[in-house]
Amino acid sequence: MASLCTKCQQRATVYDVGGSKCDYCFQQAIIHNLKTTVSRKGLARFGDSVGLAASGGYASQALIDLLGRSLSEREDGKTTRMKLQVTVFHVDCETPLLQSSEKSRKVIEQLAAKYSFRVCYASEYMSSHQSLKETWERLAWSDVSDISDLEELSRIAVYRMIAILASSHGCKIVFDGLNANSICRNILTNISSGNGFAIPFEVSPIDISGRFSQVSIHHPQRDITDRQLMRYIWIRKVDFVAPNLLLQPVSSVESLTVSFLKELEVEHRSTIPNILRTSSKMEVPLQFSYCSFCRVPVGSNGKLLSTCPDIRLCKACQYRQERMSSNAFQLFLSSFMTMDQLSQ
Amino acid sequence: MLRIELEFGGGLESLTGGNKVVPVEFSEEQLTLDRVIDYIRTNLIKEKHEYFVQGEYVRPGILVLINDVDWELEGKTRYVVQQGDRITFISTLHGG
Repeated sequence: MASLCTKCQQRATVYDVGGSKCDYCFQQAIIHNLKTTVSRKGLARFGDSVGLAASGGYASQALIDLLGRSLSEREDGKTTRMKLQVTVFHVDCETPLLQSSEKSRKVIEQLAAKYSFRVCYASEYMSSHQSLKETWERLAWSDVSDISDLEELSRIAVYRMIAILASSHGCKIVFDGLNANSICRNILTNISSGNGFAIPFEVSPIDISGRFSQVSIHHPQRDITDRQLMRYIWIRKVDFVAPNLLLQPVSSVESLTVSFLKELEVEHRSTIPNILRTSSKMEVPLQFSYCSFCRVPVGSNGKLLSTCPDIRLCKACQYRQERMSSNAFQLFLSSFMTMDQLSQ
Repeated sequence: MLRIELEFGGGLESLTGGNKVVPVEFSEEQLTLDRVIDYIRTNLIKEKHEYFVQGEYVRPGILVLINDVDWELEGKTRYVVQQGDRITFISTLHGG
């Protein structure tokens, strides 16, 4: 006998937390989740200019679609109460692992156009900002041999670029596509790399770190799982860019952590909510500074660089400094610090 | 002959030579989904099988849909495949 939707008693098609749902009720639940997070956590206020960090992947495509629907007229005909000015930011400068492409641009543009969202590209911005272009081109990717470092450095560079784009376009707020699973992954990798101090900042849907002084990067999909986002995208037939799995690294800390979490979820379905709930109980430190390399909040575990006492490194970056060549580390550090100045 | 359609998404299509949709035929009149999974592992995926299966099971992190319905609602591997079914496999094992 077919399962029934727990809300409307129509035929259920989605196996979900809180009971099976039909396509329509599932979508409404996800939209409601996002809107609740944005409003109750104070991620944005009525009329705010908000940036969306979009890679073209399924999570950021879901974010564009969810936000677009949240800001449009409600499907029951009532007026929506959310009003935001949205600009989509896409970093289309390639790093070794985060490959932008024509397809990324196309899927983002198509979806953004549906909701009349403006799209801004890093490459176009850099073409009129020579110093930023030179700084980006100085990043010594070929000198980095550790696959986990490559992944992390790509992410650090992209987030800094997003902060610069947002700041230059007058957006003090940016939403990114991090979801419940990716935040749990980040929490576990922070622990394993010695950055447990950063957990309260990592788990919060609202950016309480202030690590990019002019821009706050929030996670409105914090309570939505990757499975729910992918299921949503599939129902909505939203196009997205998927990686070539044959070229994906399998031995990086990130991919191993993702696999570990997925296997845990098979036996213990509440793994992800448990990690989020437990991490949320950690007290937010009142006093902290920032790692000059990755901008993660640091406390007493941060170490001042002996060659330059203004520079502080978190535990993970201290280990990274030992793995990378001195020249490569210095190049990345100086480039990142230049980008920080440019974003101000 | 049992004719069904296999669909791959979320990057899994890179394991099947870029083919997102693969029509297949089985000589059996009745077969369950675990037989289909075994067929995919043996005949459609040439390398990196670990991205699709873990032992005899679909790898955790891969969504399976049967005619756009989550397979958990249809009995998972015990589902008896029908003529014209569309079985979809979508990977969530990558950033979004």
